[in-house]
Amino acid sequence: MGFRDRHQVPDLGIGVGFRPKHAADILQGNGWSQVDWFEVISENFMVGGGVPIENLERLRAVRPVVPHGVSLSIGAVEALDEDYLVRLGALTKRLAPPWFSDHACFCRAAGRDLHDLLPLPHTREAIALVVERIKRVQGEIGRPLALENVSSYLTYETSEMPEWEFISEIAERADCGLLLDVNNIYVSARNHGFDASRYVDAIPADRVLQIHLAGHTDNGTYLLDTHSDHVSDPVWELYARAIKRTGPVSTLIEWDESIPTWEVLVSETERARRERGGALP
Amino acid sequence: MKLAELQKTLALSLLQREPNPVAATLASGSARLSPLEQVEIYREQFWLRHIACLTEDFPTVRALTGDAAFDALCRSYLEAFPPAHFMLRELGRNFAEFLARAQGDALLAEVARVEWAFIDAFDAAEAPALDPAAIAAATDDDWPLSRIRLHPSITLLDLSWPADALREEHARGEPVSRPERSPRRLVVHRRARQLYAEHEPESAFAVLVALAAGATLEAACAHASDAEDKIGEWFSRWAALGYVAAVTFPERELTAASR
Repeated sequence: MGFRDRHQVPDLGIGVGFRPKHAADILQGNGWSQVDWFEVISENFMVGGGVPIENLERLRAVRPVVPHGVSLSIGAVEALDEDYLVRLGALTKRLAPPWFSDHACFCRAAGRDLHDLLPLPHTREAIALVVERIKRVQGEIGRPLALENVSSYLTYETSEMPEWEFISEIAERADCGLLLDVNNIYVSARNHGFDASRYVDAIPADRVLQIHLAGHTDNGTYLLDTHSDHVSDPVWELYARAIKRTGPVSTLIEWDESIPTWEVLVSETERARRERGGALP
Repeated sequence: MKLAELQKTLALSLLQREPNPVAATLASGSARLSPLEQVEIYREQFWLRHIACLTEDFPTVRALTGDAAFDALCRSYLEAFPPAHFMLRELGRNFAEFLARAQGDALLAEVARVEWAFIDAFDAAEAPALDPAAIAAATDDDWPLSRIRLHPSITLLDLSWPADALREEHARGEPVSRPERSPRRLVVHRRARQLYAEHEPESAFAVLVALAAGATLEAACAHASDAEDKIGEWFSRWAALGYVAAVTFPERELTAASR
């Protein structure tokens, strides 16, 4: 039995990342009914109350809401932040999501928090560290973690294997899920000169709980993962390739800069729905 | 290189104002980017991201200083108070203190204090306002030893400059400049999703400060010569504005949930 079946992870359909700019469209109008589910940035809701928590409560009353973290720092050598885990536990208890997600990266080192998704060297040492930390976090939260591959602009001298082997081995040994960000795969493939298709073909498909789609920016000598534009055609192709392997898994559009109107965002989800339907047998 | 050393080296290099060749020894480079260029993408993003956050949180400070000076202030602040909390939301918590102590600019510090109070009020914990009718049953003897718990969104600000007026002017798109001194006492708070900055008389403010510190009503009133005459009026107003989250009498606590 595959990971999704073992954990009874549902296909939530096509969703979007909830952003305050769209709160009125989504919650005061009936915008929420135009998408199947929402993802929220976990850290934005690790607060006491006010508008963020009111919005969250209204959102979860009408659609499934999945927390997506950016600061768990699962790959850091520094100890996990206990306050972070308490707040994440409270958030997942409030939302009761089928999974929660964060990135295969480190954010903290030397007592600092860089608020960035810093890539890990693809080494046996890093795998061992991340596996143990995922086991602890999954155990404490009591739900599957979907580990997301990051966009990267840096390759390490010490790396011992390609990223797809690194991620796959972590997922297998930690027994966790994956959040496959196909835009991130494309960005990293272009930046580092590897074959994005090979990456998609290598990941353990039954562990993919969710797929991310987003736009990026071409800075000339490298691509930057800005979430500031429509999903590009090569990324749609990669998405279709991934869906052929995974089957129908929950898909989400991220758009964080140059945020468009709600209508434009909804039209991007409709494209995702068409692409997903077309890729399935 | 071991993972711990790699992470520490990279993290500390990103906090530098200038490119760090040492960090570049970690990177392998690519066909289009040298090792140093790879690391530089992250270093530049570190500064852009954190300065953008401070720009969003302290727009009135920025309007007063001008863009270039604000950028320089942010860089100095990030060196003095490197980000350490996992929430980017916490980045500016020490900005007012930095402006007061390191920069010696009391006006900018007060403006930053007001802007930060609004951030705190925005997502502070909820506490339904106490219904004044709910405490009608208390006797006169109950009050002296009572303690009044203020709403979690409240920040009490004793200011020398009209920092709140500057914030409002900037929010309306009006130009702002350094004003004359104009002392005032503010209560920044949230009520029904809206944020407010209420002005309080000096004596009423002194009582609020004492109550916020946990004093009994009797002890708090000792901080204002006219409190004995006005406390009833003040309390009614505070309750109506949503300042009061709970009243604890020696033997019981009244909250909105008590109704």
